[in-house]
Amino acid sequence: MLQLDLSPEEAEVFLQEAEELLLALDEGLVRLEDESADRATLVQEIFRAAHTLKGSAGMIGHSQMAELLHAMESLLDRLRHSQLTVTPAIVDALLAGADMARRFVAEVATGQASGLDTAPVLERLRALAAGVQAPLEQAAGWELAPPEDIEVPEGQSLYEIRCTISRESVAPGARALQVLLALAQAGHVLSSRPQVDDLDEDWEGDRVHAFVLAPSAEALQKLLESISEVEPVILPAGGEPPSLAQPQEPSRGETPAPTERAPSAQPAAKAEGGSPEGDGGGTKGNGAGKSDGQVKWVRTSVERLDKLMNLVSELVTDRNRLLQVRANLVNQFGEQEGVMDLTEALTHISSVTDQLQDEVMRARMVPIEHVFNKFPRVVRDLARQLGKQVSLVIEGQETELDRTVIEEVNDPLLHLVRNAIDHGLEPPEERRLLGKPEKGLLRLAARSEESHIIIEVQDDGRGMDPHALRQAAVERGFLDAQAAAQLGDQEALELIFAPGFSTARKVSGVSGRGVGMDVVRTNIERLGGSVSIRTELGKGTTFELKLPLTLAIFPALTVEVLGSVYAIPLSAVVEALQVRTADIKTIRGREAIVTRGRVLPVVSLARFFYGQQPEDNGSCYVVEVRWGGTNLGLAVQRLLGRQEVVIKPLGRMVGEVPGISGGTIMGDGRVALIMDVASLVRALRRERQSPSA
Amino acid sequence: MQEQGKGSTREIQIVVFQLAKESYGIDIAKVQEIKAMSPITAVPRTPAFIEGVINLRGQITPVVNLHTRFGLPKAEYTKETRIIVVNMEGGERVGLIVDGVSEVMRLPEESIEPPSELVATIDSDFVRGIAKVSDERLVILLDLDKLLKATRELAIGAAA
Repeated sequence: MLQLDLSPEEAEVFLQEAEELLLALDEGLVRLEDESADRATLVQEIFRAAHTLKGSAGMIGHSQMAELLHAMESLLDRLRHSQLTVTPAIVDALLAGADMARRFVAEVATGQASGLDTAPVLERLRALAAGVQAPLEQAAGWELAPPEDIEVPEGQSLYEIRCTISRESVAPGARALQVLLALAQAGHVLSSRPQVDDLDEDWEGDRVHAFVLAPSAEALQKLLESISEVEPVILPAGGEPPSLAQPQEPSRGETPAPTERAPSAQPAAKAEGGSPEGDGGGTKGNGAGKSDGQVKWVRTSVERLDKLMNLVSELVTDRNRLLQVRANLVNQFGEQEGVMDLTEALTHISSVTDQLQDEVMRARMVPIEHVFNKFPRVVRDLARQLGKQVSLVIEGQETELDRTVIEEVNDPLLHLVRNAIDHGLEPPEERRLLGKPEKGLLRLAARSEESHIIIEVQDDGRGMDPHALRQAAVERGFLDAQAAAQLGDQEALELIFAPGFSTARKVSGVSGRGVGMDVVRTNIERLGGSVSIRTELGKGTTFELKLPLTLAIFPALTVEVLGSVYAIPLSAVVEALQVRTADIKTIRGREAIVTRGRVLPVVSLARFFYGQQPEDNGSCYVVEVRWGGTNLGLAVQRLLGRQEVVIKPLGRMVGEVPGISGGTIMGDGRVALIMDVASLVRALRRERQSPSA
Repeated sequence: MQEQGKGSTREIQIVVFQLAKESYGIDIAKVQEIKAMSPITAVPRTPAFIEGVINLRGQITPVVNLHTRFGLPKAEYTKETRIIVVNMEGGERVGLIVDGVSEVMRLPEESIEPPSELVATIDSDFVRGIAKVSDERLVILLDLDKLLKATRELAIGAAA
């Protein structure tokens, strides 16, 4: 048991706040690596998040967590005051710290101490704050001793150079020579290991260690950065070496700030004068979420919002009921005064209900940022793990959708992003050969479109090849050669959604074995959404997720099938047509109509649901629905109208019914069934494939 | 039976209903309410014993026809026909269509005898025991949890 001094309410407040701060940390740190980012502002934001979280951790008495955050804060403080510049090692260490903080927060949530050992992370953070490379990564191999008793001429400084040569390099000797030549060009090399004479074609080292007198770190930096396959680190070596014991008191001499692989866009700032914008100690209390004086916010629990939404659903159902009652009264008594009064009141109640529904729905809306925020980190980690270079572009993160949808969309997105990096994007060498930029593009974009949210996951990688998919389907026994040949390109692409189907040539730990894509589709469809694919060989692939704004209440087209009422979600409906039954033709054993010059397959709902053909009175209606890139006509006897429906489960006793996602209570109190176009299409495909159909 | 060993004055309370001219009893604690027939929406592509769903004060509730479930000849609905809404394990509700509900009855535990295939026309798996109410009258006590669980499995198996 974790011993903390806080009530459940306090814990809840802490957890909510901690979650936001951790996200800010993660997001900020990942963005920090982007060289084009405004690092000064970012560091400030990250520092504040760490600082506020430290305060909260201290408040609840979690001293281990507070200590960890203090170490992060100290390191950030040195970045903030430009006494250190951002390096991958620093970002790694801070992310490791953030990860550990997350686990501490989880401890508070569960009340279970996890027995984490903070020592290694603390050591890394403190070492970096002291201006020393993380011992874990860089300790070995830099044995060259600094030169003693040298005079540093005016206008020059002593720098220690640590260059790591990529293990992939085919000619490390040549790279090392380039480094030494560059150093000699920029300054005076006092000592180095290896030396120029040591180098030949057979040299197989992976690092160059040197001490150099040079006028500035920038000049060294610039030259070293131009050498490929070399990771340079430039440390100031003159004067007083930074002390491990005093991480808080960095020297404020005229020494240029230690510069490690600072990008040219952000020259190593000097710590001269030492007074950074006068807010050195004044950031305390300026915690996240407390700074806004204009908009008044109230935190409310998700349960309360859910309850509100349920009540609104009931109200919508009752409103529909009242409208029905009114219609009956008008039929019975005509437009008498009393009935008209009722109508008036009802019209008002109706509009208030609509507004209320709208407002409550809006209150439950969350910007998709909450999901997207996690991706910079995920993409960074995956790219590293898979040896890919990825530049992530996020668009439309302010797009809002219902909380229930947000929760469900995270996993499918994660899967698509993984796939894009693992299978979509080529490794840098391959991209270079193809004449593409080495950095692959991964675009995550959201936008709203009528009552939908569209999320796109786009890569500029290999693209998908319908021929290869057909072939793979045959090889793996999913289809016979003839059936495969008959598939259109779009249908062939859809093969990737078949359970167990994978085109990955090798099985990687990241994407698994293609188990995911069918799960992605199932999850999205369960939400009443759809997934479609656009791809061009060699140019890339885009997965488009179309999602409803909310799951609880949605507009539907009500239709009649053999006397029963069915509601078809309007999100799936393209249009409704009245057709003569004679115009429904049988083409290759399937019914279809020709509309606007194209053939639309038609399914009789009476036959699908009840195995009966309705009485032919010359005409019927065809509701064209669209699902995952396929259009399909549903033949029904009558169109009844448009209605807001509140979806409810049919109960476990009924189980899953193909073509039906649930029920809704209509104005007359009866239950109407809500159609699930996705599962209808799947059932149709299954039935077509089985010999009995 | 287990109960026989414990004292003698323990009583159970049951709701008695009619099905194909026989009397059945279920534990009153499981019964949520008894409703007159109300409009049922049939759900296609489900087993025949799933009569459909009803609107039970805003909740959609599945309804099982016990005639069909037990393989008894299907009866016409009359004004006596009732829907007994019972609570399933796990809190969900299910309606059971029966020919009529006659009474609520208290029975001493010792009047319950183990099921006998000679008496019960239905699958004896779902019979908890037979209560002899008088010389003339027997009430078949149903093991509701077992019945509903098996029914659910049957329904889901049929859908797959």
